Amino acid sequence: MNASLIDVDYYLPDIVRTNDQIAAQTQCGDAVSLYRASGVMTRRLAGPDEAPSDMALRAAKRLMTRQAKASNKIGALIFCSHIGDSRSPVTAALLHGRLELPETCLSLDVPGGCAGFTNALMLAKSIVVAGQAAYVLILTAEAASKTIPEDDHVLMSIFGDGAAAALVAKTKHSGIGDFCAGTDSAGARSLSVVGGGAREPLAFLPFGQLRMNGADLLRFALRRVPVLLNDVLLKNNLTPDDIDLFIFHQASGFILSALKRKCDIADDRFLVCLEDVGNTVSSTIPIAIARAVENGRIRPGMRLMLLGFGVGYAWSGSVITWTGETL
Amino acid sequence: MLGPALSSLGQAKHFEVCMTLDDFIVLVEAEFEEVEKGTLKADTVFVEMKEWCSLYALILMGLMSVEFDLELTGDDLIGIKTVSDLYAFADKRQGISRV
Repeated sequence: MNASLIDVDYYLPDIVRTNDQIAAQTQCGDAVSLYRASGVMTRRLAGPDEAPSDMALRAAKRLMTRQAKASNKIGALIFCSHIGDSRSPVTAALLHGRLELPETCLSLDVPGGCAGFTNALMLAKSIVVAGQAAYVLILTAEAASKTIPEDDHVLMSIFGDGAAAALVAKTKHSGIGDFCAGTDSAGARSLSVVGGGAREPLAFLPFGQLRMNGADLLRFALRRVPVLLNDVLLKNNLTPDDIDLFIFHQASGFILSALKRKCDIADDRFLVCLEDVGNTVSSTIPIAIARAVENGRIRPGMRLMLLGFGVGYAWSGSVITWTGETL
Repeated sequence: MLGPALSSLGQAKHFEVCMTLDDFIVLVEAEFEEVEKGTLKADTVFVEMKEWCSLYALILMGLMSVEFDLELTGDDLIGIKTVSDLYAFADKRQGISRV
């Protein structure tokens, strides 16, 4: 039994926040300095009444319109977000109903932050390879803006809101390689959403407050990601030359630039999709894939390395071969 | 030490680098976009540069990792006042001045 990632789509909310707006609102920096530090010019924000699940639904519907033949055969739905509709039931179960998926479909919430998509992809592959489902729908949706204080120009400049949908299917040939993953809870305080739960409810940010130590994260990424890259290559018996495009979690322009240099990857083999969307947490990798497919940078047959890393600290990654199939 | 696969990406070459203090100054200066070329000296105090900001600390952390596979922490930076101090830091851990 083999599995492949056969299609990806995404949704970005309508509200645009510019660097000028952030500088004016926070009275810190200017558009150019914010761009230099973040690599982001504009990002989208979910509306006041727009839940991540609403964005996920839109991304899913775009994808399912194209993959209509799979919709009544989906055996598992995996939803990845830090902000669910409610504590219970899981938001995947609610999305299951809104998407009118089969009653026999498993629904799971798997919030994984920056490594959320690659974690979900590993899980989806496992479900298909185990023969438990022929199709697995992964939905990622993040609204980090709802956890950022109104005076934090750094976080406001880095993060954006957005959602993605990805379809993993049983295929004749294996399109998803072996995974490497790991955790280092020593970094738990370096990037976290604090408060907003039973222990520490927050009146001003009901979903908790995002906190980030940029220096810690930079050191973690530069220490761990090159090793993860190497581990994924070795585990899949590949060399760097076998990879057509490296797609990392789009943490920030600064981190991506440093990683590209440290891993010595040429510009034309390193995907950056950040400038007009920002860091959309678990959605960065699928949004990057979908846009690169749209603009022709990813073509059928290309081998892509996907590496997710961040909050936890946690990391996971693998290689996929893009098929670009429509059922 | 990273395995053979990443070495072929060019990983290994950086970490065998030897350089003089003068070359090191050029390397650091190239990272600071706003700094006029040729103005950075061995005794330049980082925090007294008019362009200095928190991003520059991240730039130095990134540079040490990318070029020398060294982790530079915030605590390290408290004790590193000048370019010369940073060179000594890299030399102590990676022996970059060896001939």
